[in-house]
Amino acid sequence: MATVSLLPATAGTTAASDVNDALYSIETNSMQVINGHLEAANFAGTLTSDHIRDSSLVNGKMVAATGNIDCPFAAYTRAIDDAGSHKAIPGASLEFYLPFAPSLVIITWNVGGQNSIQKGSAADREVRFFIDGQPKSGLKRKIAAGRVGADARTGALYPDQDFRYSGHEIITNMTKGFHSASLRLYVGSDLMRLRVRDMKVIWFK
Amino acid sequence: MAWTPHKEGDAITLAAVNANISALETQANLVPADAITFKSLHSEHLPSVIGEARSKRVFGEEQTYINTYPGWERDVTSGPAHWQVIANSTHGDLGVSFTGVDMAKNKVLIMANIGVKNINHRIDGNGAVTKGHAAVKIQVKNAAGDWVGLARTERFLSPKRDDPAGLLLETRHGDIPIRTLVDSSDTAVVYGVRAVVSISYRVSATLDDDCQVSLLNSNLSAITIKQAI
Repeated sequence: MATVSLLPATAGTTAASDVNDALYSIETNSMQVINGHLEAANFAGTLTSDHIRDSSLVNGKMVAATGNIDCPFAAYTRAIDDAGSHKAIPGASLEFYLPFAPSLVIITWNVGGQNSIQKGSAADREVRFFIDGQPKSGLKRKIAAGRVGADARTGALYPDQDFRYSGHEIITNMTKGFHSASLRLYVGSDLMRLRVRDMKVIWFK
Repeated sequence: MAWTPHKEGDAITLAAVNANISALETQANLVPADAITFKSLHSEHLPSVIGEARSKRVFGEEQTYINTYPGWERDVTSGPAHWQVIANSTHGDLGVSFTGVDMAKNKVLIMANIGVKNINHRIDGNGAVTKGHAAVKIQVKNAAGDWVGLARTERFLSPKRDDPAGLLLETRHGDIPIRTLVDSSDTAVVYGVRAVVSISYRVSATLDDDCQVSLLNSNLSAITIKQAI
């Protein structure tokens, strides 16, 4: 119900029924509006953050880590296109609960590291974004080889070839409930050493 | 008009009853801010601050660009040196359109990630190397239909360092992240957002021995955030 208008607009004799209806009626405009039916049209003040419950319009979650993780190719036993071939990166993967179906979810991430894959190697290696267990097309980065020399232990590394991927994705149709987002790694040769990484999710009413 | 109670012995007149009901009506229509309990409003009561959210992914097929960098804060899109819209044949331009975002009432959050597969140096007939770099930036479409660059979003990426044994370079596989917030100081209305690219030091007409950049797997998002109604 919008703005309350209790008595007939025209002047003149007021019927007793109009007075009664103005005080209480479930069929016409009446003061029964104060029983939980007031809305924005009845409001003459200014809303401030004091009126709004914390985290009810926007909220988020993040995870991060700085410890090195060594990811040897021997741990990746499937071909890159096989189901389950990529492994979630600790510190760049999280689960979150949406208390309502948000109009927008923003997910951002950052991951970096170094590897001993020799220059010119055709071995598959990439970082890829997954949402609710499914890869998202195009949200992936192949990782450049990081080693010049032939020997995996003594070959010179490119000091300026640490890979970095500071990606993002927005989603407008997520449902209320639990969800997951993750960066997943695939290493087809040698060793990948992950360094700083994080993932953030922000949802809006 | 405030509510006026009838005292014992007063005559109850029509005018007094009407006046009191009118007073009730006024109070029901002018609820003050302090009538709302502290922290009582939540997601069920309030509108979203998000207006429109648009995103675009251009992925799957590599795109190579050889257009020369036109210079800082120059938005030319044709001629010897110009910006070129990032695009591929499957997904089209790396850009989004709006029906017209009023920047007096909104701000636009832009996020873009440009996937770089490779950048080549220029190698002349004598084997001399000239190092180049790729440049990308964000443009917004204004009310006049012009694409205006946001200088603060211009980003550069150079090739990897030379192989110590020669001129061959390892494939770059880089990522260029861009984040910016557009407000009314940039433009009065936003009709579109897109990403453009160019490359420096290109002097040859042939592809193989001159600077070029190839892109793969890029995405761009633009979100309007309400700041007034």
